[in-house]
Amino acid sequence: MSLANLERRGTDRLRSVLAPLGVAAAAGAVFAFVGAVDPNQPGHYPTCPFLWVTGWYCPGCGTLRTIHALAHLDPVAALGLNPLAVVMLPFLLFWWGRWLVRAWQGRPRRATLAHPGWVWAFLGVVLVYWVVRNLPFGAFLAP
Amino acid sequence: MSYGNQGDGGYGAQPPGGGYGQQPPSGGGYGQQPPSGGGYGQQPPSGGGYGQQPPSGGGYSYGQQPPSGGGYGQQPPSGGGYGQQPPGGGGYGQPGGYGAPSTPPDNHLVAAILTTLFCCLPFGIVSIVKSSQVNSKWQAGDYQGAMQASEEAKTWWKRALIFGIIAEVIIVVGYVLLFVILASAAQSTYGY
Repeated sequence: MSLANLERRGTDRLRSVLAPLGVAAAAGAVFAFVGAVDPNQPGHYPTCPFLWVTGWYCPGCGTLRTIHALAHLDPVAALGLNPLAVVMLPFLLFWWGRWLVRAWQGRPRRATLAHPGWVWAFLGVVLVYWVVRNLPFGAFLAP
Repeated sequence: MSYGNQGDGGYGAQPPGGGYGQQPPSGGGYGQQPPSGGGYGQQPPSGGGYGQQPPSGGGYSYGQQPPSGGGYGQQPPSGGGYGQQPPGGGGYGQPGGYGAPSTPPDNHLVAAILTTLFCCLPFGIVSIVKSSQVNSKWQAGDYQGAMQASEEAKTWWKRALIFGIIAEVIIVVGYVLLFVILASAAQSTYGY
C-alpha cells in the first residue's frame, strides 16, 4: 500500500497542485487589476446590480474597493468598506492552504465536513450583516 | 473541477483501515467502507451500499468493489487493482449506487462565500443555505440528500455568478446606450 505512495513522484505532485496554484494566480491577478484600476473612480466598474435595482446594499457591496484598499495595504480602509469580506479572507487563505497541502500529498481536498452548526451560523451572520448594513445604526457596516 | 486530482493514483495509497477521518462522526455502520476516496456512488447499483467491503478489504479502487458479483467482473474480489483506477476519478454521475461514499460531497461553501461576498447577486445566499444542508444531511446519514444539496449548492453559486455577470453587462450596456442617446440628443439640440 505504501508502494503507490512511493510511486507518487514529482510530476504527479506538480500536476495535482496546478489547480490551487492556478486559483492563487487568478486571485493575484484580480488583486493586481483591482489595485491598478481604482474602483473609487466612477465609471471604472459597473455598479452592484442589487444596489442598482433596489437601492440597498448587498453582502458583497464594497468588496471591489476593499480589494483595492488591501492591494494598497490599507486594511483600515478595507474594514470600513466590507468588513465581512475582510474577515473571511483569512478563512479563504486557510482553506486554500489546506487544499494545496492536501493536493501535494495526494489526499482528497475534502476529508470531513464541518459540524453543520458552523455553516448555519455563518448563514445567520451573513443574513444579519446584510440587513444591518442597510439600517441607520448599521452604517459602520455599510460601504 | 479538482476532483480529477483525486484520481491520479496517490489516493489508493491509504491503508485500508487508516481512514484519514473520512467518516463523519455520526456514521455508524458506515465505517465499514474502505477509505477509497472519491467514489461517489460508484458502488454497483445492486448493492445496498453498507456492507460492501471486499473480503480481503483490499479494494482501494474507487469503490468498485464487487459486493455480490455485480457487473464489475473485471476486478478480482481481492481487489488488488491499483492499475485499474479510472484516470479521471470523479464518479459523480454514475447511475445507481448512492450507497455510502467515503468522501463527503463538496459543500461548495467557498464558492458560495465568493459569490455572496465578493461579487454578484445575492443568489449566493441560497448556495450557503445549500452548503449548510450538505453538512446537515451528511451528518444525519442522508448521503443522497447531501449529494443532492451539494449539486444544488453548485447550481446556485453558478447562477449567482452568471446572473451577476449578465446584470453587470446589462447595466454597462444601459449606461452606454444612455450616453449615446444623450450625446445624440445634445448634438441634435446643437443642430437646431
